[in-house]
Amino acid sequence: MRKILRKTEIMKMDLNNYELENESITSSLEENRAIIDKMFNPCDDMQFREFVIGHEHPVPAFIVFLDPALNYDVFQRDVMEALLSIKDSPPEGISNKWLIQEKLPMGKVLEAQRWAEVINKISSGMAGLFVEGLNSMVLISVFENNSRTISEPSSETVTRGAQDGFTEDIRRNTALLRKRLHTPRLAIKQMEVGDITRTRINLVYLKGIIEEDLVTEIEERINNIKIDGIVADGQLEEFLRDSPWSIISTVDSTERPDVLAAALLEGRAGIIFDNTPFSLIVPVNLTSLIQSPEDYYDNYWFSSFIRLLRWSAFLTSLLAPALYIAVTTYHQELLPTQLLLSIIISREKVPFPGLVEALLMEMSFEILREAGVRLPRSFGQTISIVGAIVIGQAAVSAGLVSPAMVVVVSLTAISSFSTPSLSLANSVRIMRFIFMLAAASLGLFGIMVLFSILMFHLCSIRSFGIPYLSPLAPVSFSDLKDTFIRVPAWMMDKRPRQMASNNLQRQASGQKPEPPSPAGGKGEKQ
Amino acid sequence: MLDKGRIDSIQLLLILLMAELGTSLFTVPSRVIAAAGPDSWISIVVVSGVYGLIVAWVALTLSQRFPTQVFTEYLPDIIGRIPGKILAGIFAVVLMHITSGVLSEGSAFIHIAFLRETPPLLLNIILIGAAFYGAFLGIEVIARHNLLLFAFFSVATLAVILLVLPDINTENFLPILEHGYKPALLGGKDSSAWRGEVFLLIMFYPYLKLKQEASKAAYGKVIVAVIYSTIITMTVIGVFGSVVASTQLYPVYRIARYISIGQIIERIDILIVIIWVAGVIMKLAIFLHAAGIAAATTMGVNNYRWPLLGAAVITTVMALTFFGNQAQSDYFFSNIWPLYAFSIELVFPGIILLLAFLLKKKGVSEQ
Repeated sequence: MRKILRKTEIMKMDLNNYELENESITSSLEENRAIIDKMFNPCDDMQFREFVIGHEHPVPAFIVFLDPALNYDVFQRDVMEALLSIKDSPPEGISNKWLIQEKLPMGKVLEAQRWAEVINKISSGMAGLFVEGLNSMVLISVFENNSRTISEPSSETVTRGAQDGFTEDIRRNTALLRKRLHTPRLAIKQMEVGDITRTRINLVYLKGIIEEDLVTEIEERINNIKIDGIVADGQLEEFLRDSPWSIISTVDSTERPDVLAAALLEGRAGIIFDNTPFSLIVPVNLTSLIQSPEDYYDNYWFSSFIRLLRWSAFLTSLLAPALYIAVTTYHQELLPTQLLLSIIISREKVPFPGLVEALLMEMSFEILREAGVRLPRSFGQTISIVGAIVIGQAAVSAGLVSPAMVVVVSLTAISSFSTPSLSLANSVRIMRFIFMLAAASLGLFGIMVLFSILMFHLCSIRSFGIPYLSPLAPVSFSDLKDTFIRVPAWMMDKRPRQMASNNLQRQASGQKPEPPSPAGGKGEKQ
Repeated sequence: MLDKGRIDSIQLLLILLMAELGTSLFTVPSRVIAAAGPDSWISIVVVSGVYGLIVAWVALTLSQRFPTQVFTEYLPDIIGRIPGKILAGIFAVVLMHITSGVLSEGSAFIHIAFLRETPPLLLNIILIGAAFYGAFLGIEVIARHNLLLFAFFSVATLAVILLVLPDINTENFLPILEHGYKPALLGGKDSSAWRGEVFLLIMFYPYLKLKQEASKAAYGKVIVAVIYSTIITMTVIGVFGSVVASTQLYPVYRIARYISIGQIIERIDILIVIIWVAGVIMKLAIFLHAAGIAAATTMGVNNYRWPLLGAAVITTVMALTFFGNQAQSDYFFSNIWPLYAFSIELVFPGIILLLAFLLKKKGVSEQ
């Protein structure tokens, strides 16, 4: 009941065409034009082009379109010229069907009757053709594609691997995906969210691999969103999450079509948006957030090594400052004597306790990082100099912080950049401070209790029904092949059990390559 | 059932296992060694092993008669509503009492080895707070976290044992049965009290997905626990000799402090502290969950979260009242606990099982 109420409220708020939504267009050209005029008023980028069809029995008509969305070349050549060159109307009179079938050499043309649809399509940039005496009209797609060209994704770079990234144009994005998945199994379901923005959202998945329940669940969640407009994918993400209050996001986003394609092959679903180069991947688990697309381009030995490195960097970025505080404040006896001595000497001049020192450095690093993102690109050099010299070196020589602290903070910073998922790295940035406070109040004991609580939390959250820590907990041994290490491609015969239990086999087993036998025959198994 | 979670038999096994090992692996060896000396392995394997299997059998047979209910739910069905409710209430309080014992053990170690100036009350509140969060999230979450913890726990203990291997003096294991069978049997009573914690099965059985695998979890737990504690106890004896080991409060922690290899691997006692804290929180969460469910089913409410909070608060208070200082808690665990555990783990469920058998009471099966 509440949902229905909310829906109508938004509708009322939406323009003044509420009463017209369900009505059809009239056969009078004048009346139609008046209605459009009224509805789009003021709307100075709207153009009306009036003309007549046919020479002997001219029928008045007009085309209405929004100026900035129009590709003039195509409009002039394929619409106006085609319409104006019509000599004669057919014996049974002009009909929209005749116009579409015989006269308009355009790909995307459709007939419409309801005002709701007409207004919708015209606002989204289609041109509308109205002819006197007909109670339907024609919508013609003559978009000018204003989006930028495909370029390298800026947030997820790889050295070896595909360099194309999604753009702000949804059609181009699905095209990039189609380019990688040549199959009718690739399902693309279009939905619209936002009563005013009517943002196009495409749910993509591979039929036969994904669990059908998951698709219905996602569709339901998206359709249940009643909102005036969506401008950022983060908004949608927050509507879709399983654990809305959790500090950890259970939705992943990517800018890379190859990542999305790989996710679909594992039985996940993708949500592609109009107007943002980021598309969402659901469901996710922690292990998939530590994976990088490059892992699959590189040699598996190297990938496994890098993955282990990345896991330890992940833990470092979470715990390093907290451990430093705990050890220097409470548990000096844990350090080897030599190391302890050098830390004590370096801390001799520092007037603050460990926590203040660490907070000072961590905060200035976070501010530096935030400023680096906000600043115009030409200032980047300045910021790095300020950061390196003023905050690093000068703070140490002024005796504000100890050199050991600078080492810890830099280590943390570098580690936090090695987490491939931005949302995960950001959650860790916040949690790091909580751990620091716990360490300052209770030492290692505080860290361990907090870590236990965090583990309980991680075990409890789910992403579209998939436990966040799977396949680690609940454990699925066959899925561990692609977590801390990556086994060779010829050993990954099965899809993740949690995601694609109904279609597990990914490839034929026993495909380990072997050298040809020395006799020169075909490589037979010994 | 109040907790809708479902777990498989391995998860149940590990829950029952961590419900014991969380503390027993570190505190029990010296008690056993004090009584049995080099014959501790006989105490553990024979006495506590057999006792554990008997307790497991009783708990399993009782649970199988009432596969969809926890102990405190079917207790009134067997012995009548009023006495049943009273006994269930007492059972819930007993569970809280055991939990408070665990809590005081947990904070005592941290207090002694780690944070000498922090008042134990604060440590208690923090530990029980973390455990409450885990129990609040339900049995499935406990099971998942427990699995990860068990893996870490095993790796850490294994690492300590391997590193200390060169220091083991095999002469410490001799002589065998120097004073006859009596010390070995006496040592068994300490070890058994912990081994019998498999009785918690009567509070966790309904969550099991495949009921036919229950015996695997129950007996498996006892066997794995026997193996673990035998290895740890014998390592302690091997390193310190039975005389020195029996005087130490936390011998495993001492062993870890002892390790120093090439000045690179040393001070790994921190590893023991880590698994101690994590293990105690897990053990508390498991017991607290059982206590909260027991309280909730006794009261007949349909949400166990509030009773759980009550159980957590009562546990904290009990930890202060009954285990306020080291002497109190030491006295309890050496003199009272073995008999106390015996009556709660074996005698009480045993009598109830007998009654259920004689009165031919049976719960509804799952289908």
